[in-house]
Amino acid sequence: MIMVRYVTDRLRELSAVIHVEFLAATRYRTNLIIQLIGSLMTVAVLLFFWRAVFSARSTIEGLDWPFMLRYVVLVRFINCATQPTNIARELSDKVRDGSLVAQIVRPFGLLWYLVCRNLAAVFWQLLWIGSPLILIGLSMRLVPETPTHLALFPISLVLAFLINSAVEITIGLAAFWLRRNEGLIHAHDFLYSLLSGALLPLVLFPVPLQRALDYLPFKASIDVPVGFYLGYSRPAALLYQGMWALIAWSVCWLVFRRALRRFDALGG
Amino acid sequence: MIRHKEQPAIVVENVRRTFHSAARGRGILGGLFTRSAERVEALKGISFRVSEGRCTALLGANGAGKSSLLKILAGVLQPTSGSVSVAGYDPWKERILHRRAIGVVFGHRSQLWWDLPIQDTFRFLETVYGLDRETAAKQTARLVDLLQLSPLLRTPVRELSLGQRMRCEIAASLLHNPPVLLLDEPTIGLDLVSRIRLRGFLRSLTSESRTTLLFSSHDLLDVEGIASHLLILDEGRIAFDGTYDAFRMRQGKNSSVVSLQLDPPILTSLLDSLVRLGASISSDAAEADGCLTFRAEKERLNGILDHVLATGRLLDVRIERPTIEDVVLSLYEASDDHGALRNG
Repeated sequence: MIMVRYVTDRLRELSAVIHVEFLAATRYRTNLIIQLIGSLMTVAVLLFFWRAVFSARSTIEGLDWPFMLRYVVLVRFINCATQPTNIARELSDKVRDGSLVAQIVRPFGLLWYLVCRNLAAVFWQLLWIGSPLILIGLSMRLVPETPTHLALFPISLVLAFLINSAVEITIGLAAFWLRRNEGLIHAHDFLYSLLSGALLPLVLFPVPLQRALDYLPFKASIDVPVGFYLGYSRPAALLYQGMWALIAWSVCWLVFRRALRRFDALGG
Repeated sequence: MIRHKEQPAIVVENVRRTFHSAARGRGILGGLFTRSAERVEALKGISFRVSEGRCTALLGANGAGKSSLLKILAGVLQPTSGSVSVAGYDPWKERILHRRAIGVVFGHRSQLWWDLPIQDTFRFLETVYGLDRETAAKQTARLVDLLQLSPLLRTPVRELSLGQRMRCEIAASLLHNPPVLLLDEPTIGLDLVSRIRLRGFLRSLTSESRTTLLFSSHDLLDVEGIASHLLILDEGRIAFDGTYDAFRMRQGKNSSVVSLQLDPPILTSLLDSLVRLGASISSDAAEADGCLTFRAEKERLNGILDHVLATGRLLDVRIERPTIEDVVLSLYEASDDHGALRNG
């Protein structure tokens, strides 16, 4: 009974955050439209690029044009379903100008609030970018290899979201120590897009780098979930994702605990 | 949520708060090389109590520790040592219960969604505090009425004037009807009309709904208009804690300044008898144009005025009580003599 109460309370808070953030996001119609066009444009640009590549050679490292077509659409979908955009930047701005205080004085667990904020961002992306991509994917008859893969794909997405949101929160909270952390945000953006498989499939990298990436968290965000859909990830990859989710949240939690005690830095 | 009635709304015991601020080297690139931490004690072990339903003004010069204290009470800052209880809850150990029992406004920082109209923030808070529709609607209607918000409800917060925004901030902090309201410089930057309105609202709040109110301000008129009690901080210590009247008495500012316009010349015999009746007259007080200015205790005024009236030479009289500015200034001056106040 207490459990049920606890869960409904948290869901109520989540719905409040989603509601208010959606309202704020729809406030500027032009911005919304530009964002939407921009994000679908990256898909188009990548597809043109790969078509040009494959018109010169029919396969590269065993990859062909039909594979790349599916890969690019899937990557964009996974990115918008698991990677909350701009949360780290928004959070570090709030830390720097002190407006995070507004959340701290409310009866709302701060870490849970940040998770809600991440979820709201992802739901928003799914609504505007994800849904057209799903239509595109369906029109391409882009379906998973086996029912097992279909079942594991959503779990993989959830784990990828957990890792990404923990990283976003940790980077945002780093502003408590660094004050200006644009450098960190840019470095993460760069490493994420290059090493996760968001820009190009990891098989195209030199083999030593591919081996090294097995020991890093980046491919848990894109490469592993893509692999579940396209059939090249093995079920054990969920363990790899789960382990990194655990590590990411442990670090995030430790940073969060210490950050709460650093509010002194915000003068006034 | 059950609290003992007799319990003070705010209990602060021996609270200390130390800050570490990084001092950097000099020169353009100095920041990259030398670094040393500087320890600053913002609060040096303070204790006080605020009983329920009381309105207390928190005064002190810049850097006296007012904001630190309010942040500790709001649960934003953790005290380095000592204990704090607000509405019966520890701000850190009983975080959620404590937050439900307080309303907070930091005058410098907005808690509203910048791009959204205030009614959207109200709806968000309504859900977060878990208020049922009916209670929330009633409380919102009451606040909208009292703070005259109805024309502002649909305007995005960024388009509101400072005074309008502050009224919205206060309404947002009171939506869940908290027993304790903490305000950090609520009148900062407001024009005269907005200030007076806000004072009126805060006064009615403490008298009607028995909300315990603790607010900091640099505008001493706010204090005279609203607060019955003063808590004055100086360099991280409590310089005074008590009623406004007690403060006047302690500072020896219970006397008034009396100016008499008399039919000249002013006779020495009159001056002597006034002194005997309790007027403190400085040597140059009597001026040629027949104006006489002196100080006198409140209780002595009757006798003095009777005497002056009996002479039949009184043309005009003016009696001024010292303003709160005079009174507080006298405290600062006194502590300045001991070299305690540096940031005045």
